[in-house]
Amino acid sequence: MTAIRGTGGGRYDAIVIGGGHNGLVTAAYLARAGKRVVVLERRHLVGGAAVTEEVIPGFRFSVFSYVVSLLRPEIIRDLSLPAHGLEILPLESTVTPMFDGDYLAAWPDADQTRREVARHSLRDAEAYEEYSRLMGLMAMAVKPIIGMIPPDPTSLSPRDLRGLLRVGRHFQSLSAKHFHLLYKLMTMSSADFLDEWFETDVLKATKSASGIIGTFMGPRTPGSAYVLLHHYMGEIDGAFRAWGFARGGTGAISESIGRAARAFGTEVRLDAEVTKVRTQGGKATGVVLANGDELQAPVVVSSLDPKRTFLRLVDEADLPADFVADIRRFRIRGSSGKVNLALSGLPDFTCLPGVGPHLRGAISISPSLEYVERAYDDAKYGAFSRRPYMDIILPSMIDPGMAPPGKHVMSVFVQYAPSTITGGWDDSRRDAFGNAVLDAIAQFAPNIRDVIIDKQVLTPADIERITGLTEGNIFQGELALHQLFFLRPSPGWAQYRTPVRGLWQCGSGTHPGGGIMGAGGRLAALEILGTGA
Amino acid sequence: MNRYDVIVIGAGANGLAAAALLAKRGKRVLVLERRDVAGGTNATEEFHPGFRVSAARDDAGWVPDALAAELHLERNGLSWAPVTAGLVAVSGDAPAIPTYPDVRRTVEELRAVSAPDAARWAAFAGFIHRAASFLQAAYSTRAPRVQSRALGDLLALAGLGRRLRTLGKREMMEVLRVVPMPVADLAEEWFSHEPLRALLAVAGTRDVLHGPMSGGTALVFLHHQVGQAMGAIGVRRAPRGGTGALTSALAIAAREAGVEVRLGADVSQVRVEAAQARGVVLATGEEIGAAQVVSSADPRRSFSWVDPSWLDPALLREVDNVRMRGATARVHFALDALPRFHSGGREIPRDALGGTLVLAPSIAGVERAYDAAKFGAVSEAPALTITIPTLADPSLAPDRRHVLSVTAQHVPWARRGGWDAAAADALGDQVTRMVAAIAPDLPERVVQRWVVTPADLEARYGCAEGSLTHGELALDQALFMRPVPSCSRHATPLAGFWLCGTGTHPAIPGGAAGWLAAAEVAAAR
Repeated sequence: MTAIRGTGGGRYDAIVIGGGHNGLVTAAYLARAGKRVVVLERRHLVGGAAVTEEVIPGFRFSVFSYVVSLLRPEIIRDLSLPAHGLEILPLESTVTPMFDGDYLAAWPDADQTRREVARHSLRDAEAYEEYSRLMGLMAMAVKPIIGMIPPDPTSLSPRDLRGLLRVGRHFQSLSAKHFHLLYKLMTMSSADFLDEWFETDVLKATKSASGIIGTFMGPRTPGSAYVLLHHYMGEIDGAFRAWGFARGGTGAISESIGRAARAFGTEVRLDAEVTKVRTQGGKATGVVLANGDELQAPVVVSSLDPKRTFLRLVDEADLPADFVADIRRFRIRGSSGKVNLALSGLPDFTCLPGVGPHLRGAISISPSLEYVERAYDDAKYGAFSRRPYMDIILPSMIDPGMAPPGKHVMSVFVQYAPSTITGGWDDSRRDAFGNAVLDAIAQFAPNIRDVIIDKQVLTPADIERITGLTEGNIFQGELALHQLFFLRPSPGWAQYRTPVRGLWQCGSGTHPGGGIMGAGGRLAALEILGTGA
Repeated sequence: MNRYDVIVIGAGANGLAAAALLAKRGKRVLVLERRDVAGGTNATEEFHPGFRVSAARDDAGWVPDALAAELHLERNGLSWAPVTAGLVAVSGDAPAIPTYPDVRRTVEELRAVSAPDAARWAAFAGFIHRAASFLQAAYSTRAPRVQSRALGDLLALAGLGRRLRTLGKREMMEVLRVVPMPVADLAEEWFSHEPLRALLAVAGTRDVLHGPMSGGTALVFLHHQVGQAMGAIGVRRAPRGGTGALTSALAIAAREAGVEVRLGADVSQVRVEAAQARGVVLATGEEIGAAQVVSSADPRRSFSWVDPSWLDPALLREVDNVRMRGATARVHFALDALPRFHSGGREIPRDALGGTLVLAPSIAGVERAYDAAKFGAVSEAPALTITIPTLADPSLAPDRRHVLSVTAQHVPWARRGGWDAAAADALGDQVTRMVAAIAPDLPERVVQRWVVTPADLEARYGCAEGSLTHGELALDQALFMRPVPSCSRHATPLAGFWLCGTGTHPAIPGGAAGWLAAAEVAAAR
């Protein structure tokens, strides 16, 4: 066993476990402040669940996470990500094929979208504008909350009281109407919320899908309206104003953050799996790697999910029993799978035959609220959805570099695929799941099987095996009301600290949660540096 | 000059409580009741000669101590039947698991099925009791106004905050965490034995169109625990003489205070002059004037009586958006003798039989019943809660005869195809078959059966969509959101027009909304 010291011969100031986007953001901010930082990544590449890999020769895939919009603009600015190669290509439309051969589309042009919604319902077209305006306002209204370190409501420390006062003042600054609307978004189901606005079923189904992504809830489950809002935040934030696709895939986002971190002096070590956090007298002192190497630093930051961090890397004896119980019951159920297809040609959708602008945007398989809700019902009892909800994009239509000339890659995000499937995930269940996905696509694009060259089917078990995300949950813990803000991941431990002094957490399992946001990574770094709000 | 200061619409618990309290404060009050009997959803009604039943609900709810004391409800005839048990898990194939108001007794019973669960029961009961006590504090005062800058509102909020703080740091967090949770998660965090978990799941989905896996159902569970003694999980509050005895006592108190109660008086309109409610018009055309009109009907019905030109369309839209979604049906049986009850081949002990039998094998089973209901169907196995009110209160049936009442959960008002006599009969048959699994000789004992569908609840008691709570109890429809933010303190944007029904804060049966509303009306100038 050898104790490894920092490259300069001295110790590291901080070790970051995991080279996903949050780990890299934390490292970059710490290094920017002059700290000597090392990032330890288990795999051969950085990115965690935001990686681009050539899974099928010649075809490059954003294997897991596939779109971006939530990445905090302050991070892009602070870390000069565009200078490090970040380029976001807009993904501007969403088309939902319907069973009757029609479709519903949202186009980049607001007037065009209005006309499209009006084709389905004049009333909804009218409501649409007001809805979009208010959702924009609501996203703005939660932004300060997303950007702050959650105050502990049980604490009487001046800092927490100031934080609470800030939250209180913030809510008071909203008009009563907006406050009540925000409250509804925090507590309702997305279907109930949308029922108050719209009458067109397919419109509600497609909008409600944002409320279930990454979450083990159906559109009718209270709490899903918050997830909808969570996904709405990117639509107004910063420069992009829409969902986008990084040139080179989502791995390019991680790489740009990694480059920024390195530019500030961070050392990034690949193939370096941490197996244990070393402690002494209740204080973190370093980590042990799978190869037996040990690294030392007074600050250890884990970007892994709370269960992996506290139930696997830390000795249970170093943690209070209450805390361990909290982490054990933290709900982290995986609900989604991913199917990556290498295509010889383009899928031909019955509702919009041939090649058109719809193939440059998202295609949402959410023909009705009942369709999506029934997909959830299958999963509740431990089966994958026979007819799943899917969010499909064709990255090669936007970034031709992703596939050989004339060929295409297709990314299919699938819900629901429960991590705890009855009988457990195995090859035959994975095959069956892949077939259900293709059958469901074939309902709307009958030629799909004819153009497939090869495919990669990822179940939650595969996502866990490859990325390390417990149960394959893409948010490192469900975005349910009882797991947000000062309750995330554990009541009393939501300020990136942990019961082990010197051990910090910065992953999506902390406030404000998942998506390629980087907010947890940034806030953790600010807190470690003592410059947090 | 009006003959009345206040007209209260509806003679249910809330309407009568509000009327009586206002009369005690010197108001001249008239109560108008559409039906020929008072009591609203509390009414105890004869459904077969000599057999009486609380048709709509089996639990009188929480009667605030201050309300009972001010109106001398005990002196006016309210007394409680000795209910011997709380929720009792029963099934065709496993022995019953009774819970009792006495924690130690419950622990003993649980020991037979799960030692770890038995070991956790006392802590669970304690936590639930303290959490429900916090809710009770919130239910004993006007709805909090989170956004307000008014000193009184801030002090009230601070008071609730202080109350929460007395729980201690860990438990305070725990209450905040639990309230928005699914009751299934709450049950799974505490217990491992599935029938016990299912018991809690049923209690947490009472009268709502949500399954136990839906967020916010832990709140529903805690809500129904408000006012319960420590250890008493789901113990039915049964007045002697049925839930109607509560409203009878309230009616006596009201009359004593000078309230006039008119039955068979169907309100068709609230009269408005110069943007101020001035009285009501009855279906007969009769006009009655008053300075204040207080409606205990559900918010949708209440506003339907007002000419919309006096109301903000945005308000009407909000009221229209209140989720009602009744999901409860009741089936009552008049029995010529008590059938034998078995659970898993063993006779259910007599004192357990006096509790509330819950027929629901698992959380998933309850959730599946909800799945059917959300798409407008009645599940093949809705969760049933079964009570035999005559065991604690023989006055409800002739000598040695019994009444058995079943509440079927997740029976949707919005049934695809609607409700008619055939659908009601089919439900009655289904419930009979299901109960026969634990009482095989039930069918031979039945002398009368009465099925009360959600559609019947609407037609008979005027509850929109058959919602017994005049609006689903959910996080987004509680406290300052109930029924809509601008009416959460019982006043409405229409001057002189007030709401005091279960559709308003605090949403719990037993008269609390009427009690709080009376204070608001009395304070108004």
